[in-house]
Amino acid sequence: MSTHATATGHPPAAARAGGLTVDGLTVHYGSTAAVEDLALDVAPAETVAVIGPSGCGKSTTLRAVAGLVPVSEGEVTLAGRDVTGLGPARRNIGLVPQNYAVFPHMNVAANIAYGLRARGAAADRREERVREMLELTRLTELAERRPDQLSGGQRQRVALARALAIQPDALLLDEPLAALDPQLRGGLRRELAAMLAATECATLIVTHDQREALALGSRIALLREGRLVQFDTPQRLWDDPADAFVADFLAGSVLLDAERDHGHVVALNGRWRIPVRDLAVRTTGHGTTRLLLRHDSLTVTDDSDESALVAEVTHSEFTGDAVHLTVRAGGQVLGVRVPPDARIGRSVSLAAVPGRATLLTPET
Amino acid sequence: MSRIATWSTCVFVAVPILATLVAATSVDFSQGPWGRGPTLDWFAYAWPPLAPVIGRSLAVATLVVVLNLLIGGPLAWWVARHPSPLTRITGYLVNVPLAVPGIALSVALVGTYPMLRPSGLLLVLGHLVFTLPFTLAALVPALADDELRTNESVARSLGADGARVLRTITVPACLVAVTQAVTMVFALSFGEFNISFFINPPATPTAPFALFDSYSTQRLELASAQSMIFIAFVAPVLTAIAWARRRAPRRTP
Repeated sequence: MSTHATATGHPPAAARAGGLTVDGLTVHYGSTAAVEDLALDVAPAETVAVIGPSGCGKSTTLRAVAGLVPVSEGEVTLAGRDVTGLGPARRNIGLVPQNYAVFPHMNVAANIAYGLRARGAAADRREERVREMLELTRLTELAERRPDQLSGGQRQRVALARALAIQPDALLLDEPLAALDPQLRGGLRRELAAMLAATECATLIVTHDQREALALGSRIALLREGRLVQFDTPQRLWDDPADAFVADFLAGSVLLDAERDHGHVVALNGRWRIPVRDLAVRTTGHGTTRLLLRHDSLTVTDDSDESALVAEVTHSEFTGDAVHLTVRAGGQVLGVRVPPDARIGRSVSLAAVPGRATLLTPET
Repeated sequence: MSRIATWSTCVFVAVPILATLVAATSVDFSQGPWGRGPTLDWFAYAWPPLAPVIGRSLAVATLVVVLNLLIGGPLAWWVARHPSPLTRITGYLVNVPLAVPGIALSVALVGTYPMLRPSGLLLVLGHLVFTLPFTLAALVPALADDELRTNESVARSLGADGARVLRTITVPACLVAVTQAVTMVFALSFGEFNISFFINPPATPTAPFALFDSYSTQRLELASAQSMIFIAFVAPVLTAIAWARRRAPRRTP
């Protein structure tokens, strides 16, 4: 059994025999390990988002679960069946790729019926199921349309309806919103979340978009260089990132090593002493004492006492309602938001905004 | 630019065909266009000896098309789906006959496989070697298309077996490319002269060889009539090529 970050508040994998379990998954492309010793599970009716930077192995994970790439080591279990050695056709999965892959020579209804036909479903059962899927995805009026007559969001719904029509044990979505215009994504993300909530199958979403993962996943698996870094609920990932990579990738936050010293927290090799009373204090399940800084955790101050951190301004960016400063202090790059009219020199004194910076202390 | 292209097409393609038609319908073309009046008699004289030759050429072209699909289809699949040094070398090798003069190719084939010549099999193989690059040129890009491959993956994930995926996803997506390959190979084989001239036994000529023979030994009007009959057979195929090229693969935006 491979190890991964513990997820709290969820039933153990054994209790989720109906869902999807990936254990010790390793996939090689030639001599390169694209995914290594990955373990995660998705309960029925649960949505897990797999997230990470480009090349981290998230799409390979999805393709391995779908049976589209050979698995070097490990097991994929679906609804209690070991499907590791089975081809895609025998896994009972619904796959929605990034470009939706709506078959261009078939109309909407024929696309949705494709999997049912392939499985030899009787005509009346097929028609009934297609009608149900058309209603679920609000495509009834478009049943006879060709894919090239549909918008991006409509094609996404066709692909989803087609995948759900076969009543899969697991639904796999690869970057479900990436092909859409940014202006449309918010609305379609909510629409997608509503449709996924209506399904009973385990859903695995692969995305590089943090907002998408936070909004759609009831748990998030964060990958880096083919390995699982943290697998937990969005809230716990946000509040207690396993390391600086997770903090940076998921929330653009900074995680600094810190020490407590008589009512103060010392960071950046002693260059910065912050009164603990100015910090939100939370326990961490990831070892040492650390300071979690978000973009709203710091402010520019005129004070020059020991609680102020002198930093060099390396970049400033106007964002409309504020100016985002990128500063460097003690070899660490930090982000600070200041009012648009603030007068900023080459260096600034920074202080923690009371209650906005978080001190993570190990569980005792 | 398009006007220049149109005029060039007229000057170099349409005008010679029209001139041939005029010669074929003139009683005596040596006295000028429609000299001693127009006639269709030359077509009546041309058809009886040409009919078996056209039939032979149609049979050869059909056989070459079938072999191209049977051999070129799987070969194109392998080249498109398994990129490797070996498939790249295969792609280059298949194109070699295009760079080799027909006479050299023919002599090499006759010298290597003389036993296949009397049956006509060597002619078919010669045409196959000559046309295979065009089949691969049409099919490889279509089969290598990422969108098609994703569609096939989705079809498989939905429960379709390999044969169903091929029938319901791959072939429809490659239909234009297949049409292009079939029509191009048919036209090339039907009109091929070099290899046919050197490989085929003179007693059983193909249509282009028969035309050459007519122009060499018969009256111009008769040879022109045979040329027009030949064009009448190949024109629908050329029209199909133009249609296939104009009909771009339908893609989802």
